[in-house]
Amino acid sequence: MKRRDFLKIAALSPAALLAMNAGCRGTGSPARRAIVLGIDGMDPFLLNSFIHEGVMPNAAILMASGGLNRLGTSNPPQSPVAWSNFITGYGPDVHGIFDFIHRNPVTRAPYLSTSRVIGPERIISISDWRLPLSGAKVELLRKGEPFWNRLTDEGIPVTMVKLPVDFPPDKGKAKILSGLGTPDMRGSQGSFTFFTDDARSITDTTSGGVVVAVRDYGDNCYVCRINGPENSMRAGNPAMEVEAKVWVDRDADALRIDIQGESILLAAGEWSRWVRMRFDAIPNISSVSAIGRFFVKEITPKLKLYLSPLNIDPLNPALPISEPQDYSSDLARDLGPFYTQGFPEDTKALSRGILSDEEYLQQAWIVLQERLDLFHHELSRFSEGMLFFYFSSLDLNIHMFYRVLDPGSPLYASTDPRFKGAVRELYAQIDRVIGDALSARDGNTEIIVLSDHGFAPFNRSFNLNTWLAYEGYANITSSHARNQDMFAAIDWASTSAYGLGLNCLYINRSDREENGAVPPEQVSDLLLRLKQDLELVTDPATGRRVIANAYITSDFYPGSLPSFAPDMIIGYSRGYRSSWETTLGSYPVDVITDNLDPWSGTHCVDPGVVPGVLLSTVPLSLPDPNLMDMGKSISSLFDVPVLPPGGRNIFRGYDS
Amino acid sequence: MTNAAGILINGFFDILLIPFRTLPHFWGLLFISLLSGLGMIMVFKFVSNQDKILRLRRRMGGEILGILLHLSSPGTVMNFAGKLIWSNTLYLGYLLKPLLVIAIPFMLVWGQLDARYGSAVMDESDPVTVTVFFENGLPLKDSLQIGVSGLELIPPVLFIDTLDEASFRILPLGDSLPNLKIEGVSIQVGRTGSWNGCRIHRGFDSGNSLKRLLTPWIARVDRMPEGPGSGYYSLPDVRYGVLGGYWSWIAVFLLFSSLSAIAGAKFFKVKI
Repeated sequence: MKRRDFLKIAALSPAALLAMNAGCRGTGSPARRAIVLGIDGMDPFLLNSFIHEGVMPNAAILMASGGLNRLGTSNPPQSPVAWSNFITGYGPDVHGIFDFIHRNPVTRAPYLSTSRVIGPERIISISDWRLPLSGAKVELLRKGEPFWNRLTDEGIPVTMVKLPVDFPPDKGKAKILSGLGTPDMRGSQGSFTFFTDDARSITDTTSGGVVVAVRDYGDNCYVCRINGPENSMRAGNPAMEVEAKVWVDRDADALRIDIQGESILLAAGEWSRWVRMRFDAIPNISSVSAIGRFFVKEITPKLKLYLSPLNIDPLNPALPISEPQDYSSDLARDLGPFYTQGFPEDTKALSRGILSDEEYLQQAWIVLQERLDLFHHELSRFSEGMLFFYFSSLDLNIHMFYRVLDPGSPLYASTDPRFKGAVRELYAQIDRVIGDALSARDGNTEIIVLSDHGFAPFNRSFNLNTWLAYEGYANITSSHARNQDMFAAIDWASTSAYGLGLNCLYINRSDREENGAVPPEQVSDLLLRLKQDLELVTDPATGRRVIANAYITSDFYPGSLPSFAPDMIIGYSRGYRSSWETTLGSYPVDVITDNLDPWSGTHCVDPGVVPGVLLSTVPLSLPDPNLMDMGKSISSLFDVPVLPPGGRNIFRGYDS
Repeated sequence: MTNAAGILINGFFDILLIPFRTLPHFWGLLFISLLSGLGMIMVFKFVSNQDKILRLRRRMGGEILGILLHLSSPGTVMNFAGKLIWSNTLYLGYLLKPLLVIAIPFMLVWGQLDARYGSAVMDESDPVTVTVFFENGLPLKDSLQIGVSGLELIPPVLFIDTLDEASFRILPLGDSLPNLKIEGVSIQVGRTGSWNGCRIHRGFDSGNSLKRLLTPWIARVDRMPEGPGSGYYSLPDVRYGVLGGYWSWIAVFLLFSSLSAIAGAKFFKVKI
């Protein structure tokens, strides 16, 4: 048969038609690639408004394909909970993440809900030294099976970059770089260091970082000691330390940082590149590598030198931040060091006045630029399967700059008008990312853009514990201790409920908590009474209801709940949120106060107030998509025999 | 004399690495590491007394066996242990001569590898901090003359009176080989050629001692009365991806030269 004849016959045969069609996306044909952009905190109302203003032309293209859909979020609508819903297809009753903060049900001691470090089981002590005989472990506390296991089991490549609530990353066949939940080298969610000789800046109460007093003894040199991770090989776990000498030239308004054989010259107002530091546990034998960025806030008249939280070095990670382990090293080799901590934007430094709005935005821009580099790098080599990429920038920056959007914010008038366009610019940048994904699209690629929740203003703080005390649910015995250590002011024997975390309320049960006061048979009635009372709380300043819904957890999540689950989830009304003091269990004097922290946007409210967003090239078959549906729906785009069990398939054409 | 020797040694390594000029850095490093291991084991073979070493090793084997066979007799064990310690001392003595002979080429190779594979080349997006030391005191701030070619000078210039040091930042421009001129002193900065495996200057010095042969990453400059006597550039280290980890050039060199030496000893029947 001649070639021309073959082509003619082949072109007419149904099989050939099918084969030709395989190159284009046809409804129901398996997609070869799915690009999923996880945009933390993208709000459907803001998005809609920016699309109509013409700020987001690429999002408008996606909206024309699959519509702009509100995506049901988790309850409570906190990122660790919501992203766990996305990953597992189930709620907190299955994956076990109810809040950023959980508490030990017996001692009430709070702990980070997403991961924990387990020390070595056996240690030999020789004088001050502690030599472990087995390795320490980091444990992911999120339960449930990730939906992409069904894809990788079928040989479909999966890459998840900066995946939230996955530290340490799941062992499996997917390529994962951990995101939200990844600690810094000090084990916190981000702890900056601020060196200064300005007495006004030196305070013990700065949370989110440490302020270190330094002094120039007349030689224009400051010796700055940088505290790193704890040294578990020494008794008492003292912090490992690196010394930096900072030489200042006040005439030039510049300084030189000499650290471990490296010199970095910076003028006032400049950020350094990443500086690698080696912390010795046992000198020349055992050390860990960390990276940090310096920022020279001021040299004259006082030194003000900021050092970012010490990040896990992606080239040589001290803790597992990727799977396979060398994935982060490969990225660092190709792109240079990058922020590895889960909350890279230093919101605490802005909240505490260490960084100004402008300086914070510079740092946030560095983070976003790094993230864009990572995204373009992965997109350029993405050929098959699923690529998930997470952006934190919208979430954390809108937390800090919602005040520029909302005239009702107590800080609206005092915020420099220069920053009024910050949120719009961020959305525009995310739109360019969507545009890049659309450009990479071929006939067999689907694009999905989703967020875990939207946003609401945080203008008024509700001190849940103070309210409980005023209403007789808690008994304060020491008025001077009410703002001090957690629960220092409380008589547990006569306290029936306490708040901890952002949305959680716990009953002080006699069969669970140490010195608990409420017998099990009274719990149901107490919860009903609390629900009724909480939903009636009104703000005397505005006359508005503070709490939209108080959810009794066992009603909302029927079935067996873990002992660390809250007894009630508080769904705040728009404009309100639990105070920072509530999250750590203290009792300020006033029940409701103005929120004067730059952290002016929130999503830790009622889930109905802050739905997420779903934009997609695939139209939907259901009107009420939810985060829990996404794993099953994304999996349905591929040719897999068994879809993940959680959620529903919402993609039209792939739902047969 | 030192200068001529330096040129010869640098030139020798430049020629040796010609086949690797267009390959990634790792391959040149690997080649020199393997060659060094092999070279050192061959030097060891010809410089050491192989017969004596063989006899001594046999004796030491016998002494260890003697200990193991007489564990129930502490006196005999002590006797053999004493002999074994003496044999070890003798063994170290036998090693001394070849090690002394190997030491100088080893240090030369070490210096060359450090100069060629220890630091990253300057990156156009990442300013490098240069620090210069004025032995005769800092010049006046406004009078310091800094000329650049193939570089961009990024202000400000920082003066540290207590150290007699001035610091500033530079960025490389294009592919031309960068050069600095400070108070009339001409200084090579960064890479000395445009190929992979060329030396990368991380500092300069006006001294002319033998030490210069072992530190080929330091550019030699002519001393000027008002000019800087020495200085360094803060270039980041390089890491090499080997066996799933990221290693310094030292780790790569020690691993592969050892492997090559062990293989060479096996192949050429060298007693070590």
